Amino acid sequence: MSGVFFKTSIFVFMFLFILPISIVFGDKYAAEEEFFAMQEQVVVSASKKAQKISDAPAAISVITAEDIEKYDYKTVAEALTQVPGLYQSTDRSNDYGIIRGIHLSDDNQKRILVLLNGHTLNNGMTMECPLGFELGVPMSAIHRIEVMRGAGSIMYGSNAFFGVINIILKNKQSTEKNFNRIDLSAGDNQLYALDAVINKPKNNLFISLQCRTNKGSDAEAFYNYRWNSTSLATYEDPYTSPSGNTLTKGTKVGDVDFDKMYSLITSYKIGKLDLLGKFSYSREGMPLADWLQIFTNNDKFEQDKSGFFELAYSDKISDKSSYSIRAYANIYDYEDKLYYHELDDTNGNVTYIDGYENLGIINGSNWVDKSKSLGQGIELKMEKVFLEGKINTIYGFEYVKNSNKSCYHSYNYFGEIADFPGLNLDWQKKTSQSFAVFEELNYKFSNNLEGLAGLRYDKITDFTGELSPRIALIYKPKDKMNYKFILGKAFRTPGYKEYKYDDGDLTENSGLKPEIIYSGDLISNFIFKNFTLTIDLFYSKFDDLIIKNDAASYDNNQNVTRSQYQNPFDITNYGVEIGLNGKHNTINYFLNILLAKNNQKGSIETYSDSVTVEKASIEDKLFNSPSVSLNGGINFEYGLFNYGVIAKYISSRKLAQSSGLDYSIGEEYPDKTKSNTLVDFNIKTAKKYNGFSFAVAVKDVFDSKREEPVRNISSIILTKTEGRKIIGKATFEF
Amino acid sequence: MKRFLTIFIFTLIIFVSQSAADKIVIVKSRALSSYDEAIEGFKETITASSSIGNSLEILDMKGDDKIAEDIVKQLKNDDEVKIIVTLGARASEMIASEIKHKPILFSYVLNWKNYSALRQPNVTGIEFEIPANVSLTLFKMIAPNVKKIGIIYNESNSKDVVSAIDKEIQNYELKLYLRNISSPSKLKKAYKELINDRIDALWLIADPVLTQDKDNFKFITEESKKNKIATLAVTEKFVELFGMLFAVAPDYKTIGSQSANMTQNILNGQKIQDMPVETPIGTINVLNLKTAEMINLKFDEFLLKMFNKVYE
Repeated sequence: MSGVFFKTSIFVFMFLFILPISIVFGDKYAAEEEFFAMQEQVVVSASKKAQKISDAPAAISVITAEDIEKYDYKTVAEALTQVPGLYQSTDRSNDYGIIRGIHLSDDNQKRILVLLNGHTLNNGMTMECPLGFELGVPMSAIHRIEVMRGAGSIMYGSNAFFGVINIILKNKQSTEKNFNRIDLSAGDNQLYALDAVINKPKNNLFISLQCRTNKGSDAEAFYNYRWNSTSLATYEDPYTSPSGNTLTKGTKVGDVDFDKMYSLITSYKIGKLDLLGKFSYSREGMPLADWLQIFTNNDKFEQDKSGFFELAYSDKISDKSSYSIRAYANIYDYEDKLYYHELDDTNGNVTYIDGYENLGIINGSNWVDKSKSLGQGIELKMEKVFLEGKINTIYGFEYVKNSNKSCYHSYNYFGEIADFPGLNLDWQKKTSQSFAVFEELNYKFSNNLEGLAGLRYDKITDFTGELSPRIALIYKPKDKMNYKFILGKAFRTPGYKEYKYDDGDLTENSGLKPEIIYSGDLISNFIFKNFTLTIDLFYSKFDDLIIKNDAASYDNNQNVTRSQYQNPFDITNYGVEIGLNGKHNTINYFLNILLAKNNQKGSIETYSDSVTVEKASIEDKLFNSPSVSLNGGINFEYGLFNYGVIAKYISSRKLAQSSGLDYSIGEEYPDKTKSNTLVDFNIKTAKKYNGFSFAVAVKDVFDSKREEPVRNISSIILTKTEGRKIIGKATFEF
Repeated sequence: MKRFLTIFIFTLIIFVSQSAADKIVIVKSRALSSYDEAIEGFKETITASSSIGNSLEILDMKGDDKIAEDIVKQLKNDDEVKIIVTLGARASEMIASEIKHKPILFSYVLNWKNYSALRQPNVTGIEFEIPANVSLTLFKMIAPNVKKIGIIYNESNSKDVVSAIDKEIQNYELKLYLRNISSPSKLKKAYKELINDRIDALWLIADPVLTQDKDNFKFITEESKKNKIATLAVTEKFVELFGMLFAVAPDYKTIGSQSANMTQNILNGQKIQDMPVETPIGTINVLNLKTAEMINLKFDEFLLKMFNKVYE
């Protein structure tokens, strides 16, 4: 399946590289239009068309290339600090942007739709899309990042649940100026990175390349952990560990937090046809002992190869209407290798795990998990203006087909497939299709009042159809003041790994329903002389939240509990996000405040053995979610340098429970993280010297090592950020 | 599901089946909010007049010559189009080159005299440049000690604009220092030559050779602050974003209103060949006070009141 696609991709990439050499287009009006374009700020994410932020029916913010440059953001997750209502989180494996304080334990960014020039980057298997380096988009290639908070299914269907992050590359910027740039970075923990961008708008060519390798800091056990006897895993070799089935607080392990990333993005334009492709490869260590693997083993990893190729064509039908059509293919190829037990006999003799002799589980076994996904889709979109521009409408349809397959096998120490019952499964396939139609209509009641209504219908294999409406009123009493009232609904259908969860088998769970969010926003925007102020009061209600129940059933054959994804909880989330963004001569600053409250309700049934079922009703504050997040930044130029400082405060977060773990020994395991303030600092040369500029960034200046909740598949419930890191960067523009 | 599809298809049919009446067409060179501000001003003014009715259309060339050619072809063959209002050089020149029998009103064209098509009898419009005397008067008021003004320009783009300034400047006891450059890469060298000429002010006219490179703006602004040189910009954004001293700039919304009034006059029977190209009637004066302080310029209450907007 993916072999054909890879070959096609190679052909297409070669085509993109070779063809432009012989073609040069000129545009005599470009320089003049650039004069006016320099004064622009538009967004395209809210309604899939270009519009001013004040006209967009959404809580939407923009991070510009200039912001990225000034604060030397290293990842998209880090840049999200600048957006009201968002903060950055990390579990050392991946980085995330959390919207409005909803940080679900197993979310892994599958409830936020991430786009690259409008193309979905969430993988077709788990629908996740972390926003750290693993995204494979060099920061120097980004023209702007549009961040839309709240329900976005009206335009994008499933997964635009908490919001939409649209990364716009520099090939979409208005300038006609050629732009070539190379960034070389080196930093703590043996970080080395090369980013290169070639943007030749007159030749319609854009290429970006990223190569990065990072050894990572040591992983550390911040508490004493004890092996849960119901699990097959250990944190250390139980036979050689002095603590015996425990992981002792303070244990440090090197070489388990490494990462490597190689990515290539390229675009080319032929007349009205836009071609865009991305391919990336990443491989990273697993410092959290995910899925209860051995914490101290440094041969465990996860890697993915992902990419897409998109063709987009747009034209006008008449003087009042235009259309665009996109056809695309996505690939995702994932593999991880986890070690469950070390070989205890250095002579290579087979020995069995104590208590598991009957199951034939030997020491030195490992588990390899593989997934592949091929997605294909097409979207037709039409825009129409009528009644002298009083009514604007956009409508269209989208078809997506995802073919997923996964398998897993256990291997003994000698690399042979180990015939452990329930621990081997050959390729299992699942194909799903979705068809959607959508329409949104905007009506101008007067010069300062407009209304908007839209609806999308999605029909996805295995699920009943979902309707996603949005209505909005935008009132602009003055040029520098506007109010928006927005109501919307979004949904997310379970991903392949949720619907067909692979805990021992891949049985489909037909009882699993899509989760739903209803969101409302009342947004006030005020533009003052030197700053803008945004106040957004939001209220959201989630129904049928999809989460994993770690003991949804009991397997009598193997005497273990089985997991399953279910819809046990509803959540309410409300609060206010305040954004202040200003400029005072050469000083730029921002301040974002999030005050959020949330509560989950529902009940969950868990099995401790084949007959004992415990039904627990839960009405409580959400795990992992803070009530206050406060991010502020200031940037200014003084003398030869540009200085930037960002401070990020987050209140304490209640920690989620983990499976297969008896928590701490000898001291109370914390039930919440500590509140924390992280400070980042950067300095860069204010000017270029023959095209060269230099920058140094210090992340976590005071080495405060923020405590972060981690995903519930990890053995370690709580981790800490890496601490102070110094990264130097040399940039050459030509 | 069926019900929803029925509504969807019905809506499509309604959209496709609309017909047009006699119309005024506004054509944008591409999607820019600067143009949209003018369109807003146009609509507000024209709506006050009942004679236009429901006949206003807005087209976008999307910065693409192929789309532009299609639009030109369509306008040429559409007898219902009475007046064409063009925004930007692309729309203005491409339409004026092909359409000789319909009134065309242009705006947002830098140095419009460079485009011979815009001198035709069926074409008039609003120039982008503010008359030199307006800027020079304000210049003299806020920086009375200025004696030497420098201008960097490209002769093929801005010869007429520079000539007009040169002619006017003698009335203000000022001396003009000119540097003609062929490409943006030569800007820094030209600027350094002007510094050697000991200029005490720099006028950044709306010449594309200056605006192609954002870094050039930054360089000029920073070097000028260091050298205590007053900088005059042509749009508010350059004062705000690049810290230039002040700008006397056209107000985009008013350009739209002005176009609407000209449109109305044509509809009322005035002949376009009798209508000269107009200067923008609405201007805004913008000052960067911090830059002023850096180059030792003092402002009293009276002077500050001359500015619509002051960045501190």
